[in-house]
Amino acid sequence: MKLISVDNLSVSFGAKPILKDISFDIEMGDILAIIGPNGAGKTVLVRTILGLNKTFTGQVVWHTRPETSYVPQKISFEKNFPLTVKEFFLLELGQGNSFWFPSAKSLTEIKSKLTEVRAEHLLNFRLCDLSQGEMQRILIARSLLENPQIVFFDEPASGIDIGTEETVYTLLHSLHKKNNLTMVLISHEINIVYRFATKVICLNKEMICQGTPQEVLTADSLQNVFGRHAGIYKHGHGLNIHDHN
Amino acid sequence: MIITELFKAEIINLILLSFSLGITLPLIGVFTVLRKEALLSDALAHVILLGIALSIIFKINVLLGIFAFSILAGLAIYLVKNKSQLGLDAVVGVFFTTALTLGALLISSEELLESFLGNLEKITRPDVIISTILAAVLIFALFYKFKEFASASFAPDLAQVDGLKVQRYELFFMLMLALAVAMGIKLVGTLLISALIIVPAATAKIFTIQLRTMAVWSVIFGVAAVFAGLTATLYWGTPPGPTIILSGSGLFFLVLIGHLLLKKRN
Repeated sequence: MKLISVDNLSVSFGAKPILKDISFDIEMGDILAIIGPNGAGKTVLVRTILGLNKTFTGQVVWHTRPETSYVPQKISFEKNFPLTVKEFFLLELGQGNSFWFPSAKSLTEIKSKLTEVRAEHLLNFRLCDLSQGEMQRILIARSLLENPQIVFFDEPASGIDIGTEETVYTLLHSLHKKNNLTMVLISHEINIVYRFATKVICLNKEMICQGTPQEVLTADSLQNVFGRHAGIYKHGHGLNIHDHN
Repeated sequence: MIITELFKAEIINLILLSFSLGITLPLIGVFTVLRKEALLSDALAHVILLGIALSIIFKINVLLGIFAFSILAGLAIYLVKNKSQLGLDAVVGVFFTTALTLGALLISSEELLESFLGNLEKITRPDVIISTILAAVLIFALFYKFKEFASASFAPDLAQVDGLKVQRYELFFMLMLALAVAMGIKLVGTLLISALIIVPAATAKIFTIQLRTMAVWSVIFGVAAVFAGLTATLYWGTPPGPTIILSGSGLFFLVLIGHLLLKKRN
């Protein structure tokens, strides 16, 4: 079932073209990976689909309005601001005065999501005291509150150490299997994309390729996306990209 | 007998003003700190100076002029900020200086000083009643919609994806700030009103690690500053604005020193 259709989407910031004539569909249950070099327009594409960027031509059609979540690369806030992880989660949960007087159910849900990303010990820490990796885990856990049907991840494992990165992707994959969670993820991790994605689009301001990872992640297409020095090698767990330079 | 009645009336005014201004302005202050928009209240206050000047010239009710100009300024800043490429700092800078210059040109020096520093004697019973009712409405809205205002201020992109009408809350916030500034301007003055918005929140921020406790302590420091300042004004005849703000700053330095000493000891 089609969830989102993107038709001839183009974005320019001033005279600078960011995206040109992008078209693709997102189906219910897809794990769509968006790959491309820095400056390819991946984040802008996701923000445009989410309605956070209003200056574009073409169409973004949401066929239904599912519960949606977003994990940005980072959020910026005032240094030393007193907001704990628990409060950050409470901003998302409940109605009315639930922020002041959270229910036991809300607190249980918060703890359970934190446990899923191995961050339960961070509950009462201030957000501004967290490392980049811890913050990323908090953002992922927050995105899973209230059981979303589609989640957009902008490099979900950036700043996370290798062991935890594996945990994050395994968690996302299990959620996908259990709840048929639709995921759109921007990633530089070709290996992860190869293992987990059901669909890939390669972007470098325009659409370079799209299809299943097996169809798309070839040496030729990756060189088209990342430049002629890029190559891939196979190993026991999948694929990795490397640079010949 | 008459003196006792007058004194009672003043005490009631003092209590009502302490609570209405002492709660509303610092509570709004928590969000201006959260949004990194501490200078916004300064811009609104100085546009109000122009409103006071025009009200005096055209002989219309000053309180009406204050509220009208504050709301218009709030709307104008919101529109310019959202429709132009200018950052908030630049927009605030333009509004601030233009309105201050016009206000200073149009108003006599005695009235200018009074507008800058506030005057307790000019506060009428209707002013107190209007402030109290308005404060009750603003406090209820801020408390009940605290979560939404905090979400829209802290991580607007996430809030919007979660389905919150972020721009609507930004507009509401601007209007609430405009009303709160207008409410306190006759007492505290255009020069110092932003201090009553920022100083209690800054004092609470020194030692709190939760947003909820920061909000509660901001209100406690705000009420204490207004009450102490007004009491001193009543007994010693000092101008209310500077006395209230000095009470607030005194609390700030006491808390800061206490916090640093405790940190050193631990």
